[in-house]
Amino acid sequence: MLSVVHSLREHRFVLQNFISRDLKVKYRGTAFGYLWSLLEPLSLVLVYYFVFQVIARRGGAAYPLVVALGVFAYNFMASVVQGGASALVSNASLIRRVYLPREIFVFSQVGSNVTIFALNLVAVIPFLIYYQVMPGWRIVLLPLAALLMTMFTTGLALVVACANAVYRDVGYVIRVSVRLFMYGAPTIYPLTMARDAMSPPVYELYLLNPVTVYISLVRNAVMNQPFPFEARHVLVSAVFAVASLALGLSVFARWEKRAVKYL
Amino acid sequence: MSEPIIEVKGVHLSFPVVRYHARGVKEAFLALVRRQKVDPEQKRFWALTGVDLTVERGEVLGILGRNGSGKSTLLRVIAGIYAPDKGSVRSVGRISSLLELGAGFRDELNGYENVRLSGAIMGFDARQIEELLPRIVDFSGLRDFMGQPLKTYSSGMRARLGFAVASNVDPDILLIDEALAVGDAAFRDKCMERIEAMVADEDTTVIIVSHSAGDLKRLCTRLVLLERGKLLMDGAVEPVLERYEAILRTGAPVRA
Repeated sequence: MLSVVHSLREHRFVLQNFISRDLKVKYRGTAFGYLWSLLEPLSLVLVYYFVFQVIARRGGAAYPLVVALGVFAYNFMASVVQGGASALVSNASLIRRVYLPREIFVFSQVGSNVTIFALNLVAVIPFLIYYQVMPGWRIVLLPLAALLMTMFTTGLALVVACANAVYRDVGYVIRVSVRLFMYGAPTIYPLTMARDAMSPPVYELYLLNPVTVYISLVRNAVMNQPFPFEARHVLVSAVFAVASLALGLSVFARWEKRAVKYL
Repeated sequence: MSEPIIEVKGVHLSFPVVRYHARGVKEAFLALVRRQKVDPEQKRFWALTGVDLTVERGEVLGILGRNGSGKSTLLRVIAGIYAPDKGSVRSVGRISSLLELGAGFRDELNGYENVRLSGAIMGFDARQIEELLPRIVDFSGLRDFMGQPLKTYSSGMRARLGFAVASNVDPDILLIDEALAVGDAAFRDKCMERIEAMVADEDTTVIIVSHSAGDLKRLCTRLVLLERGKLLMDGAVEPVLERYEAILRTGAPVRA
């Protein structure tokens, strides 16, 4: 664990470079640039708004804001894990030519996804104004939520990076499961809606899913709404985050050398 | 004598054989269901089998061998890219490697951005890179193209930029893998001169993989011959070259 921190410090400049390279290359040659990272999830918001609210007449007040926050948060987590799958594979040519601590490739895509998530959150401001939602004290929980999400998904990304180098199927499995998993978390509906529809023991189970807690934390922190769960649920989700990161780092340290030979 | 700059001791290195490994989940599952047992040795390809090599500071070592004999793999082990299954590798100082062309270059980025990225990969910070930049650009002779994305470069131009970066970052060890074969005669000559100057002025240690007897004769102080992952011969330039040519003539089958 300490050696990772040390190598990160030593290589922070190359990490910065990789992150800015990622972001630069991603949008080079496009007229809209960063806007694409916004337009993509916003188009989802539009679809869900139409289906959920216009047709099914559900979702409650400020539903587009609810979905936007959910989709941004979920997209962030999904991109980190999917980025993990391609972190080693897509940098194969570089990895086979120069030695760099391989964690760098996973961490750099985490970094660029964090950046995009932060920019997306800024883009929520017009929604807040339109729906006259004032953030309050709960906004202090936003950084905590972001930290937990980042730790949880980085751990998964580290495991998936090695696994996908050996079995390329893993990348596809991830893509499919990320799609399906979205509906199992309160991404496109508010958590209160799930609570009202579930019996208490089922809801308790549902809250065991850390992704549920993270998304709801983000959303209610920004919209300054009471959290439909207790502190212990947040604690459990934090344990998940720490465990995932610790597991990811140790799996990566053990498997990275072998995984590289499959590139 | 001071301690050697590179020490390779009894290195064995194997790769997974594609037939058994890059086979996907379905086949892995089927094999499990059918309880197929595969001999673990069959799953591996031994690229290096017990290589010992010691290189002293300031040496220019050439590595010879037929295709698939393990030359590039040996360079990668020295560069730290592959960890040996058995044995150990130790080296001292900054390694600059030119393994295939343009290490880490990105097509979408322009020349300057690529040089900065390569510099960062080699462990330089922003200020050091800005100091090195003019030297690198001068040496490459590509000043007019530096603002263009790399995808517009020819392979010769990439080779120029790659060599310019690798040879101007004051490395202690320079590893070159057939990278000089692409440039035109004038640039190759310039590269040779640069390597000679690095060895003479900065005591740089160079390891070079090449099939060109001329290049090796001009640059190297010592040659090693690899055959099927083993070090067959280690010595002065002429005798090793003769042995290599003899092997080529007999045409023993290349390992599958």
